[in-house]
Amino acid sequence: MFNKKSLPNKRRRRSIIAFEMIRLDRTSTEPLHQQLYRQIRDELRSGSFSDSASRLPSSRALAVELGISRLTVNFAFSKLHAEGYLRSKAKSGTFVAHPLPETFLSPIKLATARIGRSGSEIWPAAKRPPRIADRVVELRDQRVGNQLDLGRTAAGPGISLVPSIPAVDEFPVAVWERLRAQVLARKGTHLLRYASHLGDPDLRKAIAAYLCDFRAVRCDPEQIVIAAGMQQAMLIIAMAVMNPGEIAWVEDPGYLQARRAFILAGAEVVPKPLDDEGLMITRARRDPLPKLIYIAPSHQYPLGITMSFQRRQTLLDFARAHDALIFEDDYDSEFRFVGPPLPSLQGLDNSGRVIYAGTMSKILVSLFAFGIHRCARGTGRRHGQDTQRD
Amino acid sequence: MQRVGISNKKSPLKKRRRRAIIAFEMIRLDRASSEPLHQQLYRQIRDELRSGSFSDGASRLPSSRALAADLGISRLTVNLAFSKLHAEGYLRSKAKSGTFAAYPLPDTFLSADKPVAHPATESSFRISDRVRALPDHRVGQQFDLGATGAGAGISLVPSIPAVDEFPTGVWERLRTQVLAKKGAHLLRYASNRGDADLRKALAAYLCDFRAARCHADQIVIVGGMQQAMLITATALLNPGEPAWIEDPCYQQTTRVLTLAGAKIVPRPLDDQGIVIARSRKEPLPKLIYVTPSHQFPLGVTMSFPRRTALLDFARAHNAFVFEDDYDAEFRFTGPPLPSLQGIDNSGRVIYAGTMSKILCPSLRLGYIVAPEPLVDSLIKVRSAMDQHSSPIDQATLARFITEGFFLSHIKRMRKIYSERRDFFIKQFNKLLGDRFTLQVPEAGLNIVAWLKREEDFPMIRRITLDIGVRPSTLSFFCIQARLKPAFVFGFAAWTPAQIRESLVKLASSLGRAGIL
Repeated sequence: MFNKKSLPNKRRRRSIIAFEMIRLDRTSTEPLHQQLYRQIRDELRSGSFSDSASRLPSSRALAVELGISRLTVNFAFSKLHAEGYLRSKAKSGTFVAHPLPETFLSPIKLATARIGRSGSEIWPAAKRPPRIADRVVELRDQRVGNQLDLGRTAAGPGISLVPSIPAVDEFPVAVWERLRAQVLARKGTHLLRYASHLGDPDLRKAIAAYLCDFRAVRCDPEQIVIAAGMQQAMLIIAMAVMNPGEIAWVEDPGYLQARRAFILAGAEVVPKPLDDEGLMITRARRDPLPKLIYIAPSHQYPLGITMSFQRRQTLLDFARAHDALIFEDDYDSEFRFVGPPLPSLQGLDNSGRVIYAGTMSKILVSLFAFGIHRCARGTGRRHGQDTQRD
Repeated sequence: MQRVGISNKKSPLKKRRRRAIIAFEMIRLDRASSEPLHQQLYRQIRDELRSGSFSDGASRLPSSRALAADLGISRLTVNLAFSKLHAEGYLRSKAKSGTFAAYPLPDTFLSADKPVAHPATESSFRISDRVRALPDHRVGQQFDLGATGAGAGISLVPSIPAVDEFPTGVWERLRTQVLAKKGAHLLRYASNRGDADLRKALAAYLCDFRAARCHADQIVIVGGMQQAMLITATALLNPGEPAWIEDPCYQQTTRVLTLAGAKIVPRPLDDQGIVIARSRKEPLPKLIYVTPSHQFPLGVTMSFPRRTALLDFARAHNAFVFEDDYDAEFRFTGPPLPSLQGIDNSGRVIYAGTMSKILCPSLRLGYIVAPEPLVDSLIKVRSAMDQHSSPIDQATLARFITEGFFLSHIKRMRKIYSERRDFFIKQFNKLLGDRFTLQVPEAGLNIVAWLKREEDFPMIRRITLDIGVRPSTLSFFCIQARLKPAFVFGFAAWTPAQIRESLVKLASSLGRAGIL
């Protein structure tokens, strides 16, 4: 490219960059404008144009030179502009920005003497293992990270009949994605912002209606807090109502994650045996009273016992008498195969002692990770505060 | 609208009782409705079955051909309705006999009996001490600017990114591709560590641009900065153990560490960052929370000597440093200093970042870079907490980073924020420079404005609340620190026109109140 317009006295200030290195490959899958953007960007980064007086050729000239449409050139230029590689000056044209955006992104490189050179030198202090909090040491199940990740191995090939795995391939992804697109189109950027800690008001309304109709729960939307799954519901409640060292009753055998969540919250977990009516409430006089009782009355996990109506009443009376709270985990009561369900404990309770929680993990799929818990009347606000952990 | 009765002509007499064909005389299809015909048919048959007395399981439905002819609709429509009723368990097929009403109907398994409603009795709850100890008793809605709209009414709130610039189109396209490629795999329970591709992509980004030294196995994907803090504090601190934080400090840090049971020790700041010197009586910290890239809310960048001093202190006293690098990408003057994580050679730094400011807050994704011996403990805590973040979002983000959209977005946003920042400073000094002194940080989305006359503070505070221009007061972030009165302004989420409008509104209100 030659420089016919620049006057000799301005040549230094207005030298036009010649992009001789640009090679566009029309057979590549990378779009032409992207190739052009990338090559100009790399040229600017590598070059010595930081005096900010280097002018770019006009998009018209560059298009002619490269034999491509001016639209393509403009596309590449506008991207370079938006990212801060170019700046425009009225009536003078387009110049290289100074400093280039990399300046603000790339940290100063330090002499390697201070920081050591490579892999093995990085952690000399690892001799002294870190002190981990007691509650984490106490957590049962030392397998970490991947035990629920059946995805790679897939429920089909290799591994099968694992408990508590729903059939996600039946999930109506298409319907879900269509609704998602509609919601995004309607509410737009509102959905990208920080949102309410209590959860989406429409969702809370819908869940309240569903629970009243089908689970005989008595609640209004203000009592519902959206959480990220059953475990988070348990953790939030345990943190909100229990001081470290206070007693939580759990079913034995029971849901392992309930125990883990309560331990994490600092509770002392007391396992209680089961009979054919559900959790046994009897206790020795010396035993300390529980602050929280965790149960899955619809069908106990893993034994599948449905708590009898009498036991439900006894449990509620016990909770009222001893000022305890009941955490009702109703995790997949929707999938009932014989006879009508018993009403939820929450619906039987008339003293506000039941915290009801459900999850979409089994009904829908884990990624949506909604969970719901119904805060007992009167503690709703406190629990709302707690959920700000996000 | 049409009215259709179905006659019963085919059933032989001797079988009439056992094989009575249900006559759907109640079906009214409305062709003018927006509800599809098959959906109307499905709904009306379902309601008819539920209300009717067909529970002996011997009631046969008319054939789809007969019903289609009767209703004057296509057989395909009838089949669509029938197959949905089948799938949900309202119908059952019997080979060579036809389609029957199911017994029991699916509602049997779903609807619990309504218990007698009892009058609710009052009861009081003992809330745990740690929740009682949480500062800031506003609950639920303080971040929910959506309803009121960041544009309409409320402006210049600190720490709000410009989400309207988020490339939703690109994101949704990548999401669709990821879903199509990985399918049901993304709907299952997933790894507690986070998506493997995302961890790899983040490790590369952090090494290149934040001068971190890490590999993918040191990275744990979390649900934002607060969860990163909660997981770290839960894993490291026993209840009552001391944690140092900067004072003034990001208010959520105080809340999260309180929730984790830590004893919070506020530390003062000077112009180089957190002050490490302490009296002998003070207990040693187990965890030190810092924002070295630019302190929140004061904007101080921690000096290099202070960084090395902090690391030496942590090593000497067996403490961990939590480096919150929440929006270090948005830097406006000179090159950034390398992250603490990158200059640490004793494995004492836990580095955490978030997508809330770079991309958008509602994504709820962040990451921890942990020293290797600590990784398993962090994952254990996450697995007892809420398992993992959305695998679809994680996989989409991995693509967003590896295909270059991420860096491109950062550069674009940096330019936009840089222009808004310059505009804010210019307008602010022009309109309000008589009463405020701006302290302009090198990075970040907030600017501190110090009052020139302290006695103006209560009046200005009331005015900002009244007119919806909502900078935070600096004292909101202070724990013990006694600083001169100041406001923390956010400039990022508002266009130059909105910034100007807000500042003019503030200046004229102050003028009317006789302050300006």
